[in-house]
Amino acid sequence: MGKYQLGEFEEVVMLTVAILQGDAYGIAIIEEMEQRLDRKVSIGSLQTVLRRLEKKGYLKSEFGEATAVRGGKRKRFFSLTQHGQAILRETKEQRVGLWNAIPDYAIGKQ
Amino acid sequence: MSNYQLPKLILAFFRWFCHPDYVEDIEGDLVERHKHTTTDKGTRKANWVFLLEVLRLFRPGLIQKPNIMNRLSPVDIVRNDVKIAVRNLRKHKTYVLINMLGMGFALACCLVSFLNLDYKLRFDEHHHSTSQNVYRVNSIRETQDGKEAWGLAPLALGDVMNHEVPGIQRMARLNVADGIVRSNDKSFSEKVHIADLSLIQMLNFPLLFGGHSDFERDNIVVLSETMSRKYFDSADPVGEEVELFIGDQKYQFTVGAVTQKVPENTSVLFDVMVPLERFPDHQAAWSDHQQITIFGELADGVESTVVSDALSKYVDKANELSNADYEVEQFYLQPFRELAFTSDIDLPNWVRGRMLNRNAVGFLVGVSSILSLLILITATFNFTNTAIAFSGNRLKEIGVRKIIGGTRFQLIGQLLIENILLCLLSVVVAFFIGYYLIQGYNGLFEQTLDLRYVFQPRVLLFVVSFPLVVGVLAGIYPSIKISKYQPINILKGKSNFMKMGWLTRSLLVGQFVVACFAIIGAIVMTQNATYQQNLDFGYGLHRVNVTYMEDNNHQDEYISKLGQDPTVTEVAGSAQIIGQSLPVTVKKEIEGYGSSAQLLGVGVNYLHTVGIELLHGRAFVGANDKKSVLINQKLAFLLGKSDPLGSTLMIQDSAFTIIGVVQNHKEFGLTQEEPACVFTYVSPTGYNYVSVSSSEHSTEVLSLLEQIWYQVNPDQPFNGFEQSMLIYKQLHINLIIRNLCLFLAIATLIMSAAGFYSIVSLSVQKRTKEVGIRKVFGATITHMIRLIIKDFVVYILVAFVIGSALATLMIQGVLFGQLYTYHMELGLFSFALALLVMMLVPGLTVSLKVYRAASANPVKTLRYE
Repeated sequence: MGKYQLGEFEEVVMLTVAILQGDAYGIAIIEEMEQRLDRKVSIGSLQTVLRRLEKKGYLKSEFGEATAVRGGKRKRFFSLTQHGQAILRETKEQRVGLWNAIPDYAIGKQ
Repeated sequence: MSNYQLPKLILAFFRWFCHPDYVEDIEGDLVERHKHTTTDKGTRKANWVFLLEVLRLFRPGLIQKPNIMNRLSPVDIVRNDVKIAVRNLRKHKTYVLINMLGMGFALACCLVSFLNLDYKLRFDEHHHSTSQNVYRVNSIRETQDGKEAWGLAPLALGDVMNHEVPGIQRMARLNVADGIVRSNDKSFSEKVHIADLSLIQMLNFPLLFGGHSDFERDNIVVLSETMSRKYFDSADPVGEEVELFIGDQKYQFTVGAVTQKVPENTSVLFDVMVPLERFPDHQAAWSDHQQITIFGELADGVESTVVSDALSKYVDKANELSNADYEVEQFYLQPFRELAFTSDIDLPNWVRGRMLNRNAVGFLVGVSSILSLLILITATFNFTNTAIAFSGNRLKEIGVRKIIGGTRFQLIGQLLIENILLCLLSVVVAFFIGYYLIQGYNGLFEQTLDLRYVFQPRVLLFVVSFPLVVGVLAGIYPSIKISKYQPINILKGKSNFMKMGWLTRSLLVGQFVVACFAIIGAIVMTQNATYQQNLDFGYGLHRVNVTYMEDNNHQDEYISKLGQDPTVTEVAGSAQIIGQSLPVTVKKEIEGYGSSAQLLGVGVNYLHTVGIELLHGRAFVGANDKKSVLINQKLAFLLGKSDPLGSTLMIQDSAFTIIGVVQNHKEFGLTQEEPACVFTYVSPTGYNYVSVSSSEHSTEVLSLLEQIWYQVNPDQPFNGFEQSMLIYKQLHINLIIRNLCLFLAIATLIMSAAGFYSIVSLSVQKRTKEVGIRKVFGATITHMIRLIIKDFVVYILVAFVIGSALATLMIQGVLFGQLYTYHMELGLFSFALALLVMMLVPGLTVSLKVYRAASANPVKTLRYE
């Protein structure tokens, strides 16, 4: 195993941020995740993870423009750092490696 | 979406806990989400979701980190504050002493007042558990002076209540008589409660010995715990025999029960209670006009007004058969719980003629509460003044603390803790002072407050919380004021912040006015007491002792034995004694105007014994003088006869011959002028009193009288007293006023001396530099002292003028004008003495301070920067 270990939720959040590409702020991330994964996500759990990932240096963030819809509050847009991208890639490789190691008959193929 | 609204409270909560860096965007997210949900699912649901979201945001990663100050434990802060406070107080012992004594004294006064108030307000509370349906039957009497409410009703009404009026569950009658109780070879005079024993259950008297079952019998007696101890020590007395003498009747009783000790502040406080049925003169008939107290317990749900109306139907019966000089207008029921507050003669709705234990007089309770509050206020202001004055010593500390970042609240907290600590210290002092104060108070007003009573929860609560409140109140102003000082000014030494405001100054003068008033009062009352003690009463007030006799059984033997004793100078019998004369109308002729006079029936030698001097004619000699009278000068003057000897005098309707004229005497003591008096002859069978005169001290004479009495008359209690007892109240009131004035004088003097001390210290501090400069230019110590105390002398003089004017008004107008006919004249001496005290006491307290300031080395004072 590598040095870096991502939790399942962390991984999902980082992937979603990557999908949204520069449009990744709190609500957008939540909606994307709810749509694709069919799971309920609260702002609280998402934000904690976002801050934790930011502190670890996997994500970075910047404020966008103020909009009236949000009561005049600015959005904070998240994006992956280089380090974050590397981690994601490493995680994927690990997963793929694991998948490849599974014998065909064990899970069955489509 | 015009009515769209965010739940503000929840949002505010979020803003409060969220880390400031994250607030903006998360709030934006929240708002966006809320709007969505509102459109999808409605406001109600959206608000719920919003709340849930906010609650889920409350997690360690997102909430605000507490800052450093908040992370300090408040316990540590307080502990350190207390430590610093203790050190500070230890350093300033004078300050502590002044405040501790002043506050301690004021708190002690408050403590006594509180006990007093508590006693009064909780009167009868002991009975409340069973007395909710208990009422007393009162009557309204129509007299010459208008309508009066009386706590008495005819004896016969009790039977009516038992048998004829519906709605009454139980009834109990109560009467009080003086009797002699003899049991277990002991015999004492006691107050006997003659009552229906159902009263014991009706008013909740728990039993110590015995049971309620015997109460039906008419030969049992119920004793209080105190009484049981007095006669039987701590043994169980149930079944013991008790003899009771009331009037000339003897009754035999068996002890049926002993009640537990109940609080003193109850209406029915009995020592010996015997059943009413036992007394033949209490067998009620309407023709018997005996008036007694009747209690009734109503059945549940019965209106008292209904019963009142039913009782009032018997008014005619009561009026028809009684021979009283009033008409009963109606009967009504008064709830037992109200009794405690209608026994006050100084309240407008008081009920007369009660046989019950009286509540403390509201006036006295009120006055002492107000006095102690005044003293407390003075002490509090003193406290404030001294706190400010002494803060001068710690300016540097305050400056430094502020510079290194101490907040104002911390400073205020520190100062407050010091003040509260000081107040708690003074509680200890207050207990010591309170102990003596209570003794004095009980002595003055014949009450039974007890400091042990303090250990009841509510009193303890008062004792602990009151100083806290006072400490905070007294400390808050100086704390705020001191903490406001600008550190730059303090450290630079610009100390112009300790100005004496008009408030401080007028307070000081006010204190001195009160002190002056009290001092003059105390001096005058002391002088007056001595004056009145030595006043010529026209007879030997202090030389005479009297024995009261129930009957004449052993009278001759007693008198002759007394006559033989060498310590007794003279002995004589009489029907009345001075102070208990009867008012009569006397006339010169059968027809014509009468003048009122006081009548005394006296035996041979009585006038000589008490020391009333015979001016003309002769004294009574014996049985031949039955139709003779002696009159005094005043009556002779009123009759207009220069030589009244031998002329006739009509007393009521019988004629007497005047055989002599005697000197006037102060029959009524000090409060009324010497009246016209007439003395008639009484033969030994009519004697009620035996008076003796002696040059020995009256306590010795009294014990001698008692000794001889028991030799002659071993079965009857001795009832002897000093002649001066009859005007004891007048002399006693004098003492009470004197003691109150003395007390107030000492209290206010201590207070004002303390206040004076602090203010002079302040002034000295302020003028350190001025004094230095003046001395450099050649001023002497005397100059300096004069400079420092000049203002204060003026204050004292102003206060003295106001105070003595007030005192003169009060003493001349009220005491001498209303109370005493015979009193001392106000003299300059009293005022001069008061002024001396006023100057001396505060002067002495500050002299050292002033002298030290005035004699300080100018080099040192000027260097101070």
